[in-house]
Amino acid sequence: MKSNHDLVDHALDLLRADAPGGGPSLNPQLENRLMQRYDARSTTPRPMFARPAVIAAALLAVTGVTFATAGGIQRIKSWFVTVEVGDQTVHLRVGDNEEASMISESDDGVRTHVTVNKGATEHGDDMTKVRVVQDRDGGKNITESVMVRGHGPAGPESEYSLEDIGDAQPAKTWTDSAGLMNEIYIVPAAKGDGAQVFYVSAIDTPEMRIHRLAEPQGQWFGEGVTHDVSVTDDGVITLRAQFPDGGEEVMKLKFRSRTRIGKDEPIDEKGVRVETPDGKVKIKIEESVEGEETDPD
Amino acid sequence: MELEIAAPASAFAEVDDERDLVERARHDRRAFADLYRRHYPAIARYVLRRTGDAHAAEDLAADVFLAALRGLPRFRYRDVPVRAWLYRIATNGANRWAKKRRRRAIREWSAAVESQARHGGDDDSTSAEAALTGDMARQAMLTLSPKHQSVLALHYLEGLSVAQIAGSLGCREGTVKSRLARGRDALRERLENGRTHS
Repeated sequence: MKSNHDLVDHALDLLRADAPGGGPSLNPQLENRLMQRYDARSTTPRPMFARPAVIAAALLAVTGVTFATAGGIQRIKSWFVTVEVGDQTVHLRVGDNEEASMISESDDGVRTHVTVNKGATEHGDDMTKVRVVQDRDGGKNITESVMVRGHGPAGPESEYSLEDIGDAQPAKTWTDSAGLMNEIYIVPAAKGDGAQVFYVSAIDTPEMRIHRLAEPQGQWFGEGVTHDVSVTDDGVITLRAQFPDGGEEVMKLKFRSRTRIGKDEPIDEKGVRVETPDGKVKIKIEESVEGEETDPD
Repeated sequence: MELEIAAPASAFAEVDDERDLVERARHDRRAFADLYRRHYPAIARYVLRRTGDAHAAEDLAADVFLAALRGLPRFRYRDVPVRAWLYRIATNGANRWAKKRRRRAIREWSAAVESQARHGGDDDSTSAEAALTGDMARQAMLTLSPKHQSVLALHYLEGLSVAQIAGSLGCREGTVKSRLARGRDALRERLENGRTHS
């Protein structure tokens, strides 16, 4: 009698023996195409800042450009964003209340989508959000960083309360190097199948704050979905959701609390730097104020 | 269960001149053409076995070599054969294809199992083996998660060892072994019961 093991081997034997059309032979059309590409690659000059070998598609989406329409010289504020993916470098430019994004695909199939958003909080503080999504075999790595910097005295630090967390149990509790207790909560999103991730810092102290770190999309609360949270000493929080089909989604988050700076000091004088935990994507954002001539009419 | 790691003949034949060929291919079109001719049949066969679709396989194989051409300037030869790199690119492409196709594969597999049951199929494993065709085996394979499909195909169909797969896919050998065991279990479950957990 045949065993179950044999049935699996039999199926694999059938697949191994099966080569539709007698098996592949060389493809002259493809070879010609490759040679044409090869020749084009050898003769086309490349821009200094971005080699198109890796950047398969770069998209700059800029919205909401606002400046006065009166004549004369208008000074606008913009931000230079330098994105390094592997050994490639791409420059983007983004203004206040704008978003810039780019997508690259490496030769081993990893798609990297970088989005930089310059905006303001409801308290008028400067806010920079950087999101890096790396799509790879079987899952996503998401690195999200939110930096808030403002002038003057500190205002309300958190827009969230324990009511937002409800009766959820913490997904992770830890004590940081300052001896303060912190917790991470993953709760269902208000709408849809996604989740909200809350970070509660300095628990049981007057400095306790509740921050919403991320709103991951997808079925984070479906049947058979498990969550895992880990935190490194330098504050990188890794959320891992494993799905019943074997797929997984990984988010790496780093939250930087509000920085108060002097009234007359420029914001982001030294720029903002964000790096994915694996070090493969580095982003630098620098402020630039420059003259821009506008049309007198 | 003790996992059997008895692969067919090695897919990574020793090629003494490969390092030199890679170096020359960076600036010599004939050397790149040699690389293409040397590896295309194996890569095209792999994606054809993964998909069972000649047109999709042709597109995927073309994508692999176009990606290799783009990536060649940055490729560093570190005693990992070029074919391992090409398998990695091909696996990523085939996995994306399989991911899009999986729901349809599950529906088709369920329909095939129901049809077989209506037409007097019995549960005797000898009969089940006799009734199994290459198309059915592929349909069953396509219902698995892409990461299980890829290690099963690389090991049992292409003849790569666990270490070679780990090198190709950039993961640990333990991960490959685990995926092989789980992939076999999932394939057995499909073949035995026609279950379609997704």
